[in-house]
Amino acid sequence: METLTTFERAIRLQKVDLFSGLATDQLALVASIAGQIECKTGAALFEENHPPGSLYVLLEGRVEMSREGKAMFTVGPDETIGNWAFFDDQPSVVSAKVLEDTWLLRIDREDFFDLLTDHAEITRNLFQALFKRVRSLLTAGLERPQSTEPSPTENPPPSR
Amino acid sequence: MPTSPPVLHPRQRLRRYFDIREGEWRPTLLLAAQLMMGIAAVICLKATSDSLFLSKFPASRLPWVDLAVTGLVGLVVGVYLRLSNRLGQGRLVSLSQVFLAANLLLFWLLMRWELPGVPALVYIWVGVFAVLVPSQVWTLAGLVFDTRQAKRVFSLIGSGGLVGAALGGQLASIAGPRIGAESLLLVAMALVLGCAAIAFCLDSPCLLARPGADPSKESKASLGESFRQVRESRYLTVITAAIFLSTLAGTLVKYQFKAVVKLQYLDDASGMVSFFGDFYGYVAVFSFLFHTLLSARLLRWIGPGSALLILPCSLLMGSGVLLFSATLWAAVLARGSDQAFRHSVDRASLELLYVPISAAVRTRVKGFLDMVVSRSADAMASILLLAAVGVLRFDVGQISWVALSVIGIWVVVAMQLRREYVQTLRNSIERKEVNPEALLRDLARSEAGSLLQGTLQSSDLKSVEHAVGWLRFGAAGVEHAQIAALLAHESGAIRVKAMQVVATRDLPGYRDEVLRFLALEPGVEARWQGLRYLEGEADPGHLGVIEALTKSNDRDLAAAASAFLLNRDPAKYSSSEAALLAFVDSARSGDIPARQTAARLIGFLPSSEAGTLLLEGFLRDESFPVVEAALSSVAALKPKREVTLIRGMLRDRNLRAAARKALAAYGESVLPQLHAELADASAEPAVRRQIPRVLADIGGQRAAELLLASLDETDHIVRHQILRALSRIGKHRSSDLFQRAGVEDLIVQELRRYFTEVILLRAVSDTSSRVGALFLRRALDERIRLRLDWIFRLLALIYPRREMLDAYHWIVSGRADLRSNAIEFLDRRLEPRLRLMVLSALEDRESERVFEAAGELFGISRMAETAALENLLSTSDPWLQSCACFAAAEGGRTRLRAAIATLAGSSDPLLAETASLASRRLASGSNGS
Repeated sequence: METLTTFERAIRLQKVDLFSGLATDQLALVASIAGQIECKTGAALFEENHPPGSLYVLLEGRVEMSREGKAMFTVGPDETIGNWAFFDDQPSVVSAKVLEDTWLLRIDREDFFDLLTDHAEITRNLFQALFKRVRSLLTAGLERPQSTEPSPTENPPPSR
Repeated sequence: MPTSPPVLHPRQRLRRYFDIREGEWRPTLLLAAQLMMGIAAVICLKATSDSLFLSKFPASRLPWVDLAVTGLVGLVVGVYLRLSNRLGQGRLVSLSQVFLAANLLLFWLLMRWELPGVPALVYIWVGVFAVLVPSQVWTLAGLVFDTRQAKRVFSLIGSGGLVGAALGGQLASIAGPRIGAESLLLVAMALVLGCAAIAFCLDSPCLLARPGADPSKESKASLGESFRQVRESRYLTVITAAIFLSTLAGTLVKYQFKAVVKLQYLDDASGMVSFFGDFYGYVAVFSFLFHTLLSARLLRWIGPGSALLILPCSLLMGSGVLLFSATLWAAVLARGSDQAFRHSVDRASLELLYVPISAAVRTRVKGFLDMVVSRSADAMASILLLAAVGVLRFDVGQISWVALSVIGIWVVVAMQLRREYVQTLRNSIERKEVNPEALLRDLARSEAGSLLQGTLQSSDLKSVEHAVGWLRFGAAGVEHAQIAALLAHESGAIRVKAMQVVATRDLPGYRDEVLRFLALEPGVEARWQGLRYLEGEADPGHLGVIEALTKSNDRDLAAAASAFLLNRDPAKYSSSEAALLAFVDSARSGDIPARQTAARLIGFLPSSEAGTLLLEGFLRDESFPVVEAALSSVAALKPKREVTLIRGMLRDRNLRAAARKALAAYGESVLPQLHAELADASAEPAVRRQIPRVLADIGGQRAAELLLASLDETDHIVRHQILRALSRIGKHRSSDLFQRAGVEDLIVQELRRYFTEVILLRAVSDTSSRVGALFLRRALDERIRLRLDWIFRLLALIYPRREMLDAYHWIVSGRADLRSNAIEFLDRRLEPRLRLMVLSALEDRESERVFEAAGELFGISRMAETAALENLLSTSDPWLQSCACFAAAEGGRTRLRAAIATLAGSSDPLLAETASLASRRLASGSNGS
């Protein structure tokens, strides 16, 4: 895979759920702090209980997420890895291992928070997207008929 | 290359003339047809019943039967409203019209058997029918269309009614003498059945198309409920008064007209049918022409509030003529103007007045207003006529005295209604403000108090800190010992918050705990708060406790206490100043906390050259907490030499907020320097982007003028900051802070850019396979939204700020009904120069009207994609230029190679990189997919 320009990285970032609320020029600002890296099969992106570090956006390849040695789910292109640890200051609860040769965008935590400090409108848009999602979840919860029995189809998706 | 606008097809011209849009044709035509048949039946029946009644009875009996009509209408409305709750409007209309048609068949049979009293019965029944049927059609129309749609389509629907009146008049005039007045009942029956069939077609899909128009979700209506609703709303009360007076005046004139006709024709029923048919027919033709050619334009030009004055003014004239000459021609003039305007512009205006009211309230009260209030007015007219004719022995002409008095009051009420209409529109878009502080106070006082107590004992420090924050809104139920413990908490953040709670809520009895807090807490601000608390606890003028602290072994605490005393009484504690300066001076070589304390304390000292010199030193400290503390002290000393240094600190994200505050403290004296930096396009963007906010914090006329003068800025982030700053100044502005004409010019410029961007957006392909083109479209769409935001921010500078921002909020809310009301409000609120341009900008961006508006208002023509890309490459917006470079390469636009190659040398790194990539791709013939 060729190294992407900042503009091409911005185009890729628009597909990332976390950044769905950002304007295109804000995506370019995020793209400007995102480094493109290549990881070979079997490499570990980060380990469980390690301090929070970076947010990864998969461009190409596959990464397996595991907890206490058990595989939980696989992440593919345009998905992000490390969301929770990126924001909540707590050690990572999962490990990430590369399943096949993979290209990623890596956004360093400190760089990202510096960017938010410089561009308050990005913070606002992130919040808006987040609250929109919380509201839709709440609305869905309120509209769902009350049931005392848990539905077999309502198992929560694996957290990332 | 701009392309010329296409030649419009006649059908398109017609559509444009009537301004009926996609999806509106079917319900509009159905409603117009229904009104046409309904009114044709009404006119046909009125000619029949009037002639049958007047040929059998004298005109003086008319008030009695009009009273009977009123009574029957009240009864019918009561039943009708109850049925509407059960069946819904659509179904009720169709079923009730079938019932009315059956009634007509029955009357025809009774007439054939020549039963006595039937003409009077038919007259009364027709009175009810004439009220019910048109009202049903308008109720359906109000449910189908929103405010903006109503304004456009109601005049066409009204035209249907006027055609119906002409048709009904001609039917009565031509067919009446040939087939007999009674047989016209069967003709009317056929027309009513046609109405019922249309009501059946309109039921369901159309009615539910508009949010809030679902009859099933509307609250139950009853006469009592409707009356309560009217009484509680000032707007509805004024509408009620206008309807009452309008009907009252109309009924008086109608009596005069019929009385003159009776005098002319005596008992000639056929002659009267023919005359009434001709009269209603010609009046309808005039009314139709007036309505078609002028009604909609009048509504657009002067609005429904002013259009409501046309009918009373014309009646004032007609009734005046009747007063002096009670001839047939004078009667025709008075009644003709009443009928012509009442069913055209007056009806359409009145229907528009209902639209800002919510659908639920509208349904509840409209039937009540249309039927009960109008019939009460008829009853009142009958009583007045009985008194005037029977008691006072007024002749036909003298009745005009009564009519003229009523019309005079009606004009006054109509003028009041015009004011209320705009106010109601404004209210309908107002946001309901929630006071979060009040909510938190309520919560803190409620059962949440026990939960709070539990949290205060938690081992999680963050939870405790949050809980202490809540105590600011109420500390009921929290024990003294618990707060005392918080003041001595191991966490500094919790201690400081607890001190804030004790100080801001003025909790008594914490003197010893605060003294302990002062010993523990090193921060100057927090200590200052503690010292103020001690001052409040002490007797006035007795600051012994604080004086004792000046002798503390803790030098920082002693200095803070000295500074506090010096600040409170400089004469009494002047000896402290030298000691304090010495303390600050010695702290310069101390550690960071010591320097920080010293830098902050300077701000509490009286202004002096020595203090200023020390402060200048701290502003150059290598540690940012020390510089930040020094910036807090700038407000007190305002060192003139340091403005440039502080301005440079705006680039540092750690110092930015404090630097802004410090610069604002200088006031207007720094405006020239700040403006020069803002106007310098080569200055550092990070600094320039902060300056508008500083100007807003300084505020005032001069700052506002400088911000307005800077609006030709090309960096859209700086521009956005300028507009936000203007908005902040506008929040506290005096009325003449912004020059109206200047701001209007800026709005027009902004609108021109808005339309240009919309045309550019429409030119770029939306093919899903072209990622770059789609990305460019998204970027353009964001710019257009931002542009709209700016337009409303500018509008808020010259119109009431809250109104404009609320209108913008509803326009972008995504809810069609709110958007429609907001646009209607703007239509009424904006001055003519801006109105058309702003309203055109709010049209659906995907519609053909955007091209038309851009061309007509600004001479902007549609473009092909290559021309649009070329245009974008030549803008001064590096982001749009980057997007255009990428899309041009993706689309293989080799014609743009030279322009793109030039941009590869841009000073903007992203643009240079993207242009280089695009150049390479165009050279190699690869589109990068």
